[in-house]
Amino acid sequence: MKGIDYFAPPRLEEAVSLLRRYGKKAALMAGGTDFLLRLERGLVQPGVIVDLKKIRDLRGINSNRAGLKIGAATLMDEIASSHLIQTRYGILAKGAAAVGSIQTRNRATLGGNLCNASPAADTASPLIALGGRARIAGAKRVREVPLEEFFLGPGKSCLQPNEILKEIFIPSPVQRSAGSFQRCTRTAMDIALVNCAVFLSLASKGGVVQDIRIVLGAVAPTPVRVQAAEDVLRGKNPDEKTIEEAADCAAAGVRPIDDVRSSASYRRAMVRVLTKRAIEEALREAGGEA
Amino acid sequence: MKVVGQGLPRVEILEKVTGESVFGADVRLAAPILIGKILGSPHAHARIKSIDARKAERLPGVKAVVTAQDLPPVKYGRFVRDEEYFAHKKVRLVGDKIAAVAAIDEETAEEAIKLIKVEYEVLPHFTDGVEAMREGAALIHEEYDQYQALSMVEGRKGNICYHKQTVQGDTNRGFQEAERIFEHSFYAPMVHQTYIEPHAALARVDASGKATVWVPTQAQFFIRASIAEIFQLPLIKVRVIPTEIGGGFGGKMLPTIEPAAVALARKSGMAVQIVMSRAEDFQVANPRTPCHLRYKTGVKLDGTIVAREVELVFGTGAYCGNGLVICQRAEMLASGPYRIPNVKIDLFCAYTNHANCGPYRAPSGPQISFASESQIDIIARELNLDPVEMRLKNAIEEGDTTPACGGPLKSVHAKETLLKAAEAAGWKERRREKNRGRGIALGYWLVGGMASSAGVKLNEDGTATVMTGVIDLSGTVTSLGQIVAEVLGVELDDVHVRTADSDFAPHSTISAGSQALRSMGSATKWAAEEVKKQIMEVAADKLEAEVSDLVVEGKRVYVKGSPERGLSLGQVGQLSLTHKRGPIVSIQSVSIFPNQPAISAHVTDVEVNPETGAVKVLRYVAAQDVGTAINPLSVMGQVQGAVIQGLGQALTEECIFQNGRMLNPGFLDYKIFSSLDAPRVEVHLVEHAAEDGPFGAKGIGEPSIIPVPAAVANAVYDAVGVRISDLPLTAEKILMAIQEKNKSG
Amino acid sequence: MARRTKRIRVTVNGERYEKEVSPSKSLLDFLRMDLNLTGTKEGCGEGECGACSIIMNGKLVDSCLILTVEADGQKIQTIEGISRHDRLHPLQKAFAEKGAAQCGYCTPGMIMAAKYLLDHNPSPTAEQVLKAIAGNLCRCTGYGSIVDAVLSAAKER
Repeated sequence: MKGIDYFAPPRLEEAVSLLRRYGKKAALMAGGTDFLLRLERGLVQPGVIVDLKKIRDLRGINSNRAGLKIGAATLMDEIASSHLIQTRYGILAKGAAAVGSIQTRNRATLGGNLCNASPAADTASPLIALGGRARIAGAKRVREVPLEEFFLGPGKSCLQPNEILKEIFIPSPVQRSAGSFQRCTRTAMDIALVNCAVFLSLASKGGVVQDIRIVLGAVAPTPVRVQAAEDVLRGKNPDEKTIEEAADCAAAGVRPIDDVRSSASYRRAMVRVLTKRAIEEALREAGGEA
Repeated sequence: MKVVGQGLPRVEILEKVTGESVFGADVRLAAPILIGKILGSPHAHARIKSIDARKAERLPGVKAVVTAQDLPPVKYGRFVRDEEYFAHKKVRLVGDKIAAVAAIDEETAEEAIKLIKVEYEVLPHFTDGVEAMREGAALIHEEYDQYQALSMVEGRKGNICYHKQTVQGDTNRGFQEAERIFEHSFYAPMVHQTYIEPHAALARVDASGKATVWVPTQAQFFIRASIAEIFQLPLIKVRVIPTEIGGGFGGKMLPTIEPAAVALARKSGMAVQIVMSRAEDFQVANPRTPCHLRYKTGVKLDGTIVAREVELVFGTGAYCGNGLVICQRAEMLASGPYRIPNVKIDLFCAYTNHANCGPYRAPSGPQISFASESQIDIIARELNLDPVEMRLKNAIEEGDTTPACGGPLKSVHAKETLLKAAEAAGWKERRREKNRGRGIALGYWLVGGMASSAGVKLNEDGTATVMTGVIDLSGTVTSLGQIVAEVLGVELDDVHVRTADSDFAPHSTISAGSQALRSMGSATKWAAEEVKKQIMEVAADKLEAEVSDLVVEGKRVYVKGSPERGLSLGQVGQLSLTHKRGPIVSIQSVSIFPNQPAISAHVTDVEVNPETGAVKVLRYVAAQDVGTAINPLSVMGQVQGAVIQGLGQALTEECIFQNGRMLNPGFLDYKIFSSLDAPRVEVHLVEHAAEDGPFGAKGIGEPSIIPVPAAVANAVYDAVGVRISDLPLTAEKILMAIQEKNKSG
Repeated sequence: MARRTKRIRVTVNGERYEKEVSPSKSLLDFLRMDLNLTGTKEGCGEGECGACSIIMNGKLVDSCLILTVEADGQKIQTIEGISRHDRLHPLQKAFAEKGAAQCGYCTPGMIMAAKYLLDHNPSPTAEQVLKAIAGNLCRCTGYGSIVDAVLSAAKER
């Protein structure tokens, strides 16, 4: 860790330029809650740290008819306590509120959580369920990637060298839509052993599920949508049996591992339990009958 | 009583809430301090073929590198002399100390550590005691038969560090008399104290070769003796200054980093500070011994226990260290707080390739209670007996003995404590609810006492100073102040009581084993009583009265019935300087105390989620027999803290190893209870002044960690009908057991 | 070996400091080593235990996971800064009275977390207190007396 240089540029272009100049020697940081751990453990040994916190363009929660824009360097706490996000994009607020402690959420950023690319990231599953899109700034232009294509593997996002995640866009929720976010942990303050985000919309009248996304975290190399489970419910007015079928499908569609936190079989069992709970809650919230 | 029995704030509390307290890593000197780091082995068991520290020595900023070469070739150990401070032939645990460096800053020290080259020949390792004891297992201590050991260390052979059978009566006959016999096996894995302050020490060696070590420790005299032995110094050449301690729980009693700091200080000529990282602390500091337990119990159909055989296998770690303390405790506790005519305890303590296990709060207590009390519950259910009734039927009473307890037990209040817990929890009035259950368990602890001496002196203004070497862990120091204040008829604020260091404190017992108050408190009370006598002597002369006519009260000494005929304690203090007696002071000593039972009885209500297996503790009632509560605030705090720590062991805590390396050496994956997990603990004290102990006080720090895992296990069984025999009772284990149960219908 | 340092300006407990620091130095180390404010403790160095909690620009944060250079231009409050002219903060008084500190090691961080709560929510419920200190581990008290102390301090204010 000797001889590290540190820059906190006020503009995004400068940050990109620093990345280009220093190449592999540069590391990005925002909140630092993941970054400092990696630095401490020698997992990353940068010559140059580029701190994104001073870049105004990367902060802020802005909403219009099209949807919601959240700057990548927006704090978890801001997202968790935003009245707007709590009421219209509730599962994202829940996900952000689940990230660590108050101390963590006062520093950790949405972008950091996503770019750290842990399969257990609590903002990732809700964002994928909400149809979120990542807007990525590079040397040339800003490109847009659906969140479900953002994650490539544990710790690996689709960011190319010299790219910076700029903001997340979430399309406005349609009528009669609602979501649910569920987690399974060992103690109350814990990384998720499994998390599950469901977002669905019902037809304009009645209980038929028009569209649905079911996303599971910590049970595959990336957060994963289980489309087979979604297909069980799409176009149906689900009863308990259908919901259970969807939950079973979700459990079959994941690839959990054994690790120090949990066995694969327990995780798989929890996928079923959480998916069922999430679907039921989402249906209730959307105005349907479970 | 005016001061004893009051829930007064700790004497050092103001420094704690302002952040002024000086803990191990807070010590600062006028002189520059080097940062020390220790090189630990990456292998659990390996021969060392070579050590090359030359590159590290040459790194700019490095002021000293030490290895075994820099220390006298001493093998040390309290029970078995099996440990050399720096390994040079063999390493026996991941983190076994090989070398240490002192440098101008942490980065340089870390870099220097990386530059030390060690060649290893890796050997097979054991993290389980049973595995280590198998015939033909690779020897962890190849020269074990050449080690010196205390004569009480029986059965040393190969990887078995200790083996002893304790027999009472005749269990073969007992089992023949039994109408039912039950056999069960249990396992309690290694768990860690996780005091929030990691180990830290600062050492300097002066021009005369005297080493001074600032260190948070529960056992300053033991640390002093260990350092003196390792460096072959007389005791007066080692000064241990206990700093404020950020939690100990039995884990800050063995030397860990202090000798390395001293070695580096000696070689560099400068002060050296070593602070363990949390990961290091988890890996090498002294956790709770993992334990396999087998219980065979013979009963009559009415629930009377007629015979009990217990087999215990402890995996004590790479070096014996304090390992036999745990064994000695276990022998006394294994059969439970029950009157059983025929008992056989077969106890094995095996070397394993992990950290020396230490006497973590009530060593062997929770493991034994988990097994013993789970089985009692199983038996009660099989015999259709109420779990409380079955325990009442067999619980010890005044004058009873349990194996190895050292004589008829006095101050026994097991039944009362059990009934108090049951009553407070509403044991008889319960509504059955689905997936909710209630469990009860008894905790057996025997409190001894150790050689201690304490001094009290009267200052010239009537205030008093207590000279004690015991450190404050559970509020002991404050309690000592209360005892002195009570005896001298003053307020706590008039008494100065803080921990003195090893150069100046009269020899003190360790702050552990729940006996510091009993031992040090007794010595302190005695010293205060002697001081009181001296006060009256001086006052009697001045007041021209008989000593027997005098009263010491309200910061004065006066003639009974004529309070105006008196002196303030300040006046007495002044007078004593010209009195023939001289300054008023007394140092008194106490020695071994007979074992005294300190029983705890807990009842807990839990809810088990049948889909996830997760356990929620809805209610927790803890009753404890405390003798006399010198400071009820301290006592409550100790009980509550012990329960929450015990709940961690019961539900979420476990040291997980792979190739001898701990996989979860951090709070991310070693899960202790946060505020969101901890239930409120309802505390009920049973107070009957004990036979001995200051004002009849018993030890309070440990009993309430003991029955927690069993209480929870019994409650879980009551809730969902599954019996888990190995800790912790994770959601995963419970769910699997529920699913198994449902399958078999 | 040349070591790059950066000059930072930071206000701690009302005092302004200007120092040269290595970019890789944590704020916790800076407070404890450079400013000798040893009240803030290291319990894990990984942002899990909260013993290093401070208030920076009005936010409760773990100082072990902040680089000192990130604190340039910021206002920091530590345990040493919450009493006023020898008068203890109501939280400090309450912690002392209620036995909410045993070994005292988690106490500075715990008090900062409690202060952060009371600064935003002067009349919390017991449940809100439990949530507010969820990021601060205590191994001694079992948390009950800490909740009592915070509620008591809230009443007093």
